[in-house]
Amino acid sequence: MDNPALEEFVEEVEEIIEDLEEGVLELEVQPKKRSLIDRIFRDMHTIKGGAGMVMETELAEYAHHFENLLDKARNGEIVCSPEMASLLLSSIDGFRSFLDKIREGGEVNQELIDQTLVQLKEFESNAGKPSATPTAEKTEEKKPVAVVAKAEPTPDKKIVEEKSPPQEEKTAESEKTEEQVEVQWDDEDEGEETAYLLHLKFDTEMLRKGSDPILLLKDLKELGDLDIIAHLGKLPELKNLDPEDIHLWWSAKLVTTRPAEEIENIMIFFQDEKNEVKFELAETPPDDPGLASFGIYEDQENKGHDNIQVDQEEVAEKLAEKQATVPDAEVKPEQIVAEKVVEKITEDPAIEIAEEAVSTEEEPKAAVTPAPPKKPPPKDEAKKDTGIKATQSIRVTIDKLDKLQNLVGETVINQARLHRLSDRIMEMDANLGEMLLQFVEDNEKSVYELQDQILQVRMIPVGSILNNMKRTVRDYATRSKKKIKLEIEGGDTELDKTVTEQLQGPLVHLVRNSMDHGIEDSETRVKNGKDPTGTISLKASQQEGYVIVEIEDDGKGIDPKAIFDSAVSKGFINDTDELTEDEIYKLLFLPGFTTTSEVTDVSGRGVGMDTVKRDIEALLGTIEIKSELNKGTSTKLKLPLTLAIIEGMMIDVGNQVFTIPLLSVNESLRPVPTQIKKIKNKGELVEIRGEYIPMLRLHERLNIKPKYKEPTEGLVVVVQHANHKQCLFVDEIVDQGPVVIKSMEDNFIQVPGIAGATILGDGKVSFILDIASLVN
Amino acid sequence: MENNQSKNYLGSVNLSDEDMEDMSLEVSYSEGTRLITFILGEEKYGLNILKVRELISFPEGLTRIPGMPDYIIGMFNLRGLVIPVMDLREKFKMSGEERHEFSVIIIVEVENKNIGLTVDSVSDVIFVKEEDIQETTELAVNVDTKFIKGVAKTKDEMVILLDIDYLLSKAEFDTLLEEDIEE
Repeated sequence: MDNPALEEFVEEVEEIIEDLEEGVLELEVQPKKRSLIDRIFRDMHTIKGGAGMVMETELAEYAHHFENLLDKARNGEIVCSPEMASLLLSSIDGFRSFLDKIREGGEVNQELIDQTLVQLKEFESNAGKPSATPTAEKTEEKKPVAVVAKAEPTPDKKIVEEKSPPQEEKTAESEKTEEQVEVQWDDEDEGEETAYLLHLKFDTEMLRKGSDPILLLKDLKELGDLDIIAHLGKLPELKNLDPEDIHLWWSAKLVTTRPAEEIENIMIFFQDEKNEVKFELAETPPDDPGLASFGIYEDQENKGHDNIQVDQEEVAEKLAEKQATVPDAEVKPEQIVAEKVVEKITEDPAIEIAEEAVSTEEEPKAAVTPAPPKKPPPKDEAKKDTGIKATQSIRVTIDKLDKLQNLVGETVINQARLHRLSDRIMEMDANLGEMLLQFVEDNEKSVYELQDQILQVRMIPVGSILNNMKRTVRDYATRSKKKIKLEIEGGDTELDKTVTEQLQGPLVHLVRNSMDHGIEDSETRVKNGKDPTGTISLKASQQEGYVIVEIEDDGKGIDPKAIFDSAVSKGFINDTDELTEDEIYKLLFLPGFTTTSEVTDVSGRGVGMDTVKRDIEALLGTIEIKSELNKGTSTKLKLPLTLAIIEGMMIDVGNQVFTIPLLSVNESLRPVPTQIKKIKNKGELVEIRGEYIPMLRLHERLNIKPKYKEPTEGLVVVVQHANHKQCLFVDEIVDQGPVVIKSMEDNFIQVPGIAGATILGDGKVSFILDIASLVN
Repeated sequence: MENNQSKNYLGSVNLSDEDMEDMSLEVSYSEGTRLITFILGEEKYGLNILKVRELISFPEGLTRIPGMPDYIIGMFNLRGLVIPVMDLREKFKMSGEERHEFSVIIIVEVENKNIGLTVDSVSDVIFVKEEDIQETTELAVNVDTKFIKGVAKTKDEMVILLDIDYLLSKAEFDTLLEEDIEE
């Protein structure tokens, strides 16, 4: 895929699909939530539009079908139901198939696409009559239909009075005669009505670019009651008027029950450097006439117009004044003009009423009431809450970040060299050395800060993949008839993007295991005195430089005895072996242990835990299982915040420095001869405080000639992986500190026993030992 | 019908990268290729200059990789990248020593991997026409013919074209691990 536009499109759609999926899953639970339908509709619409632009006509058409469906739902022609949610979920799979095709070439899954379209047709024809859907009736019974449409008086010709949303109109017209057609949205009378003041100013050239302010106004009016004033100030004389330019700008007041994000969501399409589209909270009581008292508008309209002509100079003066007192660069001439207009209006006695009404609250003053020029406009505060986020983030490929990180890593290494150099200079010239050292240390701070910041940039909330599990659980529950609830906690915990992405696979596996083998069917659960609905909870949290992800279910648990017996019958252990409970659970990770159906039945644990373990270890993490019979099972993943940097212990073996992840190191010591035992067929053991730990002579394993031949001369480092301990005999410990991990595979291959490479302070490469493989 | 058409259209656009690369190589050979030539033992070798990232002198600190055969002489730090170095003399089992101090490392890029190759010295950049390149079947050289793509004859010399893509292919690297096991 060499087309950057297409690439960007795919990335964008991927994001939208995620939002879509989340929205649909919510819709399944709250099918009567209008804001959800709107959100899904918007997502579909965006996909359609984008697909059209990159000439993916099939995809555009596909999205169009579903957009239509949602449009009908919005208009109340179709009542949303869980079936519709299912249909929309399959459409998401359809979209994914299209994306795969675009990304990798080949064909879309035409079968899937056709199937969903057939389902869509069926659904549309069945659901044509809303009363056919039982859920719709139920909700209607509970909540008697309220007619939401407000009949605002529209006495004045000059005012652009926006009508209420179409479906509300319908309910108003057909009140009580056609009850079944009315759709009552759960969230429409939810919460307080809030008023917002909107400031809509567009690029003069906007129409030529294919956009139109009316589109925005139309979208906005669907949110609630919208009153608009058009500002004619810039309107040129007729002979100079270019009909393809935009000469007007608008102020509006929107009274809505919807959250501010929805306004933001609509406006976001119109926000760019040339358009000035924003809104702020007007804490006027919604029933207050405010902008809606129309007599005022007329005056404002006329006076405003005149005054702008007259007051140009004064405006310029004000502007200068404001820029002097308010360092905030955001104050633009237009804003002052707006204030100016209102200021003039207030001279009219009729307007004072309005001003009073509006200014009873503090925040919204700026746009409507005159703000004292000496005070910074309070709207800045309001902006923080409802603010414009459109240009606050940019999309960067992970590639660029990798490069940046490499460069910083290099700088860190050079910094260490510089440090050594200044030490040497110090020996020759103490004064000069001191000066240089001072500088080197200052620089060091910035370099480390830089390194830290770059790592921060790579962090993304783990919530995105936890939320993906919702779909997994939902699909499984629908198929299996088990009742399962998914709880998610700590979704805002941040992890390196690469770690997060690679966590997805193991997570799906573990959640499936919990659903498949952990959670019992409702009947059994009730019999055992449990809630018929099983719960799986995903918890993420940060602990001392690691992220802990826990997958917990309240299912039947695993019987350690069953595992033990099974392991004996498979020949993994002897029945005379004495294992602790932890050790028994560890058997589950043995390759081949769980692949037989027999074991699955006995242990209640699924296939391929060894794969999960391998994946987690590849992320330099650890995995632990704990279980209690009939209470449930908990799997704990401990992951480093980032793959890029770990704390390492540098050890020396025959003049070659290796790095051991500090996470794996328990302790290090120089054993006395009596601590070392040789046992036939089991090699050497080191006795540490009564515990016998097997010892590996690292130099033998790495095929290096060591400095010391016996551990009593050198050192042993006790490392631990999962529950297994191992002593590594090394020459000495050289250093300890953070190391930047480089993948061996980037330029070479995965080498057994080596987890990665790093660059030491002297610029040399040091290999990071793969403790997992050394321990086993 | 309409569906089919658009599919075909996309199908032709989405030619895989490899296809495209093969085609472009084909083209460059039909017209000629720019080669970097180097000395190894008593012979002159060449490889497509487009594969060469840079030339460096032998690095100070090379770290041996445990468990790797002798011709993988270690890894070093090239401005933050960790790059393996393959000793071509050793790889091609050539006799004669006196290497390293004066040898040069050619950093090549194959399949997105940067790999260093030690050679005795780098001599020239030459342009050879396609008709001057001969497929190898009966070559009297010291190197295993599977690593050789052909021979280019210029006015006064013969340059052996190294099949760098094969030499540094994933399949070849995978044999490293097998050799390790055999040992």
